[in-house]
Amino acid sequence: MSRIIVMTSGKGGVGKTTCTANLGMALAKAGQRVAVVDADFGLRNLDLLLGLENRIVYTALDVLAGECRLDQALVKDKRQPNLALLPAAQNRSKESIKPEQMKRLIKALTKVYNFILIDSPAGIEMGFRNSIAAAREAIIVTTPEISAVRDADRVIGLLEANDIKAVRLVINRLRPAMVAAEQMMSVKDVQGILSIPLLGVIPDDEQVIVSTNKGEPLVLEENLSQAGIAFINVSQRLQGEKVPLMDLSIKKESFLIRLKRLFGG
Amino acid sequence: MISDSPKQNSQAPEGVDFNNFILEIEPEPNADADEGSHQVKPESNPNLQVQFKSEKGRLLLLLPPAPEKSRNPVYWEDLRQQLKGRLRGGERFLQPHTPVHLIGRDRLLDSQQVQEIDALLCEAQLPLKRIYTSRRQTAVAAATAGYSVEQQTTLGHLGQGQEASRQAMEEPLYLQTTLRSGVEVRHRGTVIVLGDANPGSSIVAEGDVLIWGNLRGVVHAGAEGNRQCRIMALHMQPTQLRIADQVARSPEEPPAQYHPEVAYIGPDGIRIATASEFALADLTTEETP
Amino acid sequence: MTIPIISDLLEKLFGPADDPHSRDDVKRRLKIVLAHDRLALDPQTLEMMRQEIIAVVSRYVEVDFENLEFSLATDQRVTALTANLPIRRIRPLGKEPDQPIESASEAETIELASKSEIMAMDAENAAAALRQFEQNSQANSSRTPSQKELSDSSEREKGETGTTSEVTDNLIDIDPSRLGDSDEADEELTLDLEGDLADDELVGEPAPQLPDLSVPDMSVSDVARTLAQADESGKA
Repeated sequence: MSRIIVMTSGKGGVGKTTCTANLGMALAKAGQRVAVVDADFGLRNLDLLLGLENRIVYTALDVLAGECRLDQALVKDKRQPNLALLPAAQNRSKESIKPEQMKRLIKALTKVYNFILIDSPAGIEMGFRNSIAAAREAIIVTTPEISAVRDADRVIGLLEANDIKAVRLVINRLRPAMVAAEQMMSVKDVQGILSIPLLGVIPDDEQVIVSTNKGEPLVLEENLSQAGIAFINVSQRLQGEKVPLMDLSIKKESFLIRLKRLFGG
Repeated sequence: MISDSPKQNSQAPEGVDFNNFILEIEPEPNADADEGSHQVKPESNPNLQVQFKSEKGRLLLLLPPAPEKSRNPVYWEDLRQQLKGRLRGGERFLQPHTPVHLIGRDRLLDSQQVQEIDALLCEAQLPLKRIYTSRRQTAVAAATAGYSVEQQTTLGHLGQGQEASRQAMEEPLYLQTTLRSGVEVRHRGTVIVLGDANPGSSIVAEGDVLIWGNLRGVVHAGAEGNRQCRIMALHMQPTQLRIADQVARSPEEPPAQYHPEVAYIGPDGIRIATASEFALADLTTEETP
Repeated sequence: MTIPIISDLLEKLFGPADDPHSRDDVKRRLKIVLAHDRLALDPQTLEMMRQEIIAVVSRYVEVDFENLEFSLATDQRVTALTANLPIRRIRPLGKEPDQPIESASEAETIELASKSEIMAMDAENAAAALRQFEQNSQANSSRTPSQKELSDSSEREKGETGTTSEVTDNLIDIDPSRLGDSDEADEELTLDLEGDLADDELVGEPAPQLPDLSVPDMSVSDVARTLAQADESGKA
């Protein structure tokens, strides 16, 4: 039975698309057949993060309009053949597609792919409703900040109301130094407030920006960054493996180390 | 069909060759039976956009067909934006005070929408003289708003119908504007853009496409199948190039310096040459595969 | 090369000065905000609910309006409404106010009024009482600043001339004994009473004159229990 997972958050900019791209790629690397679906019609980004923006010929709307088959619209990743992208249309808006249509697309994908990740847009309007229409599981992505957590909470409530019971949490952009300095909520804080099972924690990492610039998901790097390792861990947990959380704690830097750093050491 | 496999991480069902499969979606619950076989790619059907046609001292403003009859409907807001874009982009070439005849076809318009069209035309100093429509409701609305209306059930040669008819190409569409992400321009002729085509923008032309600026979006020349069409740009950096049925991406390595370039179909598909290399003599000796 | 500012330098070497822990702030704020978000009631409805709860409880016992607390808390995705309604004491209608209770032990032996007495007090009565109380507290709070001004300006008067003294003259004209009176408020109220209650029997004591009672707080669940007991004793 294929797994259909929606990546959502409520708040924009917390890292849903980055998570979709990297988790999708990590699952594909692990041998799963993965389709990632960009549900952000009008403001698509998943293609950029995967570096596949040049290879889009047809979009999901073309499939629905009968202009092409679904397999023709799927962009297969040359680096990782287990992964395919179903692009959103850029010149439409989120009202261009209805939940029923999304369900038909996803249902067809389940014939071939055993993991389908749906990248939801921000907000709780039509775009969000479209992306949860076919989903059976959800991953809530949030950062340890007050607005993101509040929005995530709202979305969790909406998911429960829409009978999506398997909802898990990914905390993104954690800064262990700030947590140690009591200026940022910790993993326990956030999880305690939202009260849903934790799937993983991704530390804030400059490499994410670099990887987006290049269109190369972090998990493809030879030398995995901290965030890359975290994504791989999450993908393994999704497949049922027990992987302990990375130790992201920071020991308070000693005075000497700080001195060194100040003078460019 | 979905196979029932108890294991969580089973591979795709038997019978599906993962490297070479065909995948279709279920048809719409209440699909029209007669539209089934006649699949027209909307991107090559420029009837789906707002069009201007010059004719005997008048300007014809053709609206795309009614949204409910179209597979890729153009709703009112899209239509307004298209009209605005065309008017702004053609500023230098639309002669002020040229009377405009609005060809509404089977589109439903209320009096406010008609007035909005009039207002946009007014800004370009183009008086709206008459409205042609095949819908009684539109005719009534326009008349109530004070316009001359002609209601016709058939609109003859004015591009009615969904089929891409084999007509002569239109005059070139000249746009003086930057095409932003999300904007789509379709034209049954050559398209000339004085400005940039940003990533996320799309041009679909039956003829050539010339960009006097940076080409960073998607361009499709020879959309009806004419493999002899060209794409030319001062600064060729497209997301994707398409000529007739061929598709190509830019090479991975951008050139050290940008020169004006021409894309055309060569023996092995789409090729790009600098403008200076692409001498006129080459054009006449091109093979038509 | 930019010359580093000494304080920046020190901060880099020794760490930032002890900011108040914003982490605690954010957790606290989030818990409150989420409690309200999760309840998904708009403020007007919440307010109506609050007033109705007070009215229902007031039907059976006299609630200390000044010290009541309503709060929302959330845990494990469940929101709980906590109402803390201090019971002043039971005052049967038509009688004089009793002496204030002084010790906690006496408070425990308070008996509830008999069923007939309870029923004699309309729910509308209680709601009216609450409304009146709140009107009073509003009226009081708008007057008390002037009380302050009275003392303030009289101090200033010594150093200033002219307008200040005019102000104080006006202020002095207000009769301090009238502060806290609810006469005017009474007349403005349009009460829709079914019962045959005379005006002076309305429960509406001026707030500042309330005795300070040390009565154990009853939570809503306690009230419910006692109400149930009262019902049973009434039926028996």
